[in-house]
Amino acid sequence: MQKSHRDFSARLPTSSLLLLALLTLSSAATLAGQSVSSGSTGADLALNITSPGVTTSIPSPKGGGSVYNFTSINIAMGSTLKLSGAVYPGPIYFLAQGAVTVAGTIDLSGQGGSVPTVSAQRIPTIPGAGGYFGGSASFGADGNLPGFGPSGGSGSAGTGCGNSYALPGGFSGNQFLVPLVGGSGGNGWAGSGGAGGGALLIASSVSISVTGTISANGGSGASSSGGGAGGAIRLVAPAIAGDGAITAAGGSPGFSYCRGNNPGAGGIVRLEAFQDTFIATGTTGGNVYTAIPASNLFVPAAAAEPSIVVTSISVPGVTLPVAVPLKPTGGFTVPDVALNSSSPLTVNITAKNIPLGTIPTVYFSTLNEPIRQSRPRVSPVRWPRPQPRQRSLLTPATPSAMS
Amino acid sequence: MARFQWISCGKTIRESNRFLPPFAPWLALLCATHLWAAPAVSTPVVTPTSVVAGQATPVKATCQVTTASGDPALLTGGVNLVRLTSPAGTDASIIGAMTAGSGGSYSYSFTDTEPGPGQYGLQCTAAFSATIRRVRSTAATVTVSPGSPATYAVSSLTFSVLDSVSPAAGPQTHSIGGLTFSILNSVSPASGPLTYSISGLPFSILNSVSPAAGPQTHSISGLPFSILNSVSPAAGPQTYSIGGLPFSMLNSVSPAVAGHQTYTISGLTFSILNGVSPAPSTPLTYSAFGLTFSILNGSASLLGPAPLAAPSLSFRIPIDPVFLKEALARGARTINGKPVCMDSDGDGLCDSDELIIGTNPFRADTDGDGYPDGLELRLGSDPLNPNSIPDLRPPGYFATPAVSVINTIFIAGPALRRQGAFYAKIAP
Repeated sequence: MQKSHRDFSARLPTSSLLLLALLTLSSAATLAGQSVSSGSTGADLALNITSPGVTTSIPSPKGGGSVYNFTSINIAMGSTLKLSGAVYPGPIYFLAQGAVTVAGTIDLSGQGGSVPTVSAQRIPTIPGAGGYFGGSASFGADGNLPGFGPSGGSGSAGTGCGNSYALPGGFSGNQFLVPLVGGSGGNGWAGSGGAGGGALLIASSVSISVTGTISANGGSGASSSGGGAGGAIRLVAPAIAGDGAITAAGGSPGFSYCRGNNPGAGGIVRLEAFQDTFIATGTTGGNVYTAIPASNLFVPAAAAEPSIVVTSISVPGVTLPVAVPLKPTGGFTVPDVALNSSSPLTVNITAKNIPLGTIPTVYFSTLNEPIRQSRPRVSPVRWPRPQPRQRSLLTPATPSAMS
Repeated sequence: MARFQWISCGKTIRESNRFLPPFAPWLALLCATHLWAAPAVSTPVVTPTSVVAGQATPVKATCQVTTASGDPALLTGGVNLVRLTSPAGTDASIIGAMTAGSGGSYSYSFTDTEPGPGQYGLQCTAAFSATIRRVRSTAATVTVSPGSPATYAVSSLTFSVLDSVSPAAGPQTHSIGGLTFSILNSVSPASGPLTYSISGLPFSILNSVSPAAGPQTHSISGLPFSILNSVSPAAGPQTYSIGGLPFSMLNSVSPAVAGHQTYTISGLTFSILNGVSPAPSTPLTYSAFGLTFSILNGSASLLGPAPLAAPSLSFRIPIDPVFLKEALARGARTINGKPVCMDSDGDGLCDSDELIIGTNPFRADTDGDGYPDGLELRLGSDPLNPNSIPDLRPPGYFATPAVSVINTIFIAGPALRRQGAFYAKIAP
């Protein structure tokens, strides 16, 4: 076939070659008329992942936040870039001035659940970047946690099969993927719930080729827990091509304990291109939308990205509050914070870019106790602040609950 | 000599048989062949008394025949109106005949439906049975003028029709701004509502007086509306009514100029760019406040993306929350990545729903604020107000990762040291 093609080209008369050239120029002119600007400044230079195996971290964006301004992106075959929620708490924005080539894998899938053998193994499952944690499992008398996220699966264990069962995570985004939001986690049960798939936007001013894999699948549930929801993958370029896999499927559930045998909700894959020749191979997951590129990518300004963080816990009689790690694990094998107090505690949180009047809530869960939450305190709370500030909230936790 | 023969024959053939037997056959032959000299009791007068010059078709004339007592009876079918000339220059022909009466004064009316506008010579003849005598009137000339141009109005556009033949032999084809329609004018002036058709839309017009003396009632697709046709081009907005909803229309030039025209229905302003005519083959459906109406009006721009300069609608229709929820669900449904409904601008709303909501189905961002219409409705902002933009934060929810805590304080007794976990979130 190749020989035949070469022979044919060799026989082309000059006029045919001129015609081909004109057609090529015409096609290029048409494509140029349907341009897409990724808005990338190129400040983060080229993202070139060629090392075999899994790369779990790349340098932070020069402009802060989670918006990367690359010149080009290349994920080589055999290489995997894993964007985990344990490293990247929010959705990821990859903007590129040039071509984007994904021959390897970009992985934003949520972690699957597991069944703990000791109480300390009750650890929330980790989502893809921009997704939400799956609820931790119960163990013996130690309670579980619901799935995290706007549509986190809920339910509680230990009450039989009445109205209680583990729900899977839901997907709360829309078909525009604006705002960019990942999947929510599934409810923990006898096993931990699956974590939600992450959220990723890749925009190129030239083209995007996916012959490898981009995945933002929800994690599977373990035992009778709920699966995590699929996440969000949005690709925007003048042309999108390739025959790889782009998936945002919901995580499979654990076995059916009562009625909770539902998989996590499917996420959304949105392809925006004037020339979309991408043909998926293998199993695809989530809902797929195709459209022409929007004029506005809705990339958040780094300074405007909202956030809320538990920064420390103040203990009466102790001068300095006990700091919370920047990236807490939520696991009990090595607790994030160790205390030694029988007095009421103060949980300090920091929030920024949160609208005025918003009421934050602090939740606390412990062994064999229902989840407790702080009561709203509206009057003294004034959001947002010009600069990030701390706000202390008194939790209803009692020493006996943590004794 | 002529007078003698006239009198001689007039004194009857009875006398000639007694005094001139040898000459009787010759005299009888002479009297029979010399009709104008035959003796009569009196001289009948035949006159086309009612031929009117300058009349419109059909030509009507009246022949007056006057005979004295004792005159021979008129021959049955003997009174005729003869057209001496014709537009084609053919010979005169008998165009009518009446049953004769007995002696006296008789009036016979004729109607000539054949000739069109032109000038004709008419003459009456009368034949008497007893004397085989035929009397002609002098020729009269009648001039038939073409009908006066009649004025009609369609949607306040005044146009003139020159009706040459009445009643029309068949539908006549006219054109307004390139829109072809047919009129079958049977009687003029119209005695009742006539039904016309423009590009398949039937409407009726009661054409009585032009310009119309008052509002006329028309019907398009069953929706009655009234038009007071006064002056064309219209000097100012005119008020119409469709289904009880009044709206005003400023009709300036036909076909409509390239610019948008502004209309109002119950205070709702909307624009129509009537650019290309004839109209597309299928009526376009619009809706305001749930009232659906169809317009089969050529506007090529409606078949493709609207120009960016198209003015947005300046009102916000209160949207039924149930309808909005259903519309958003319809707009989000896809099969293999393609919307299941017609979504021309890809804004996540079906075209038919956008027409109800009031957004532009061919413009993803009707109000030009940078946010697609479907996105605005999903996130609670107004797609028709550029100052209303959606809240793009994740759906009202931010949460921290869980922070595990262990309290290591010594507790006397068998109680276990318990673990716990904090997390904070902001929810709507």
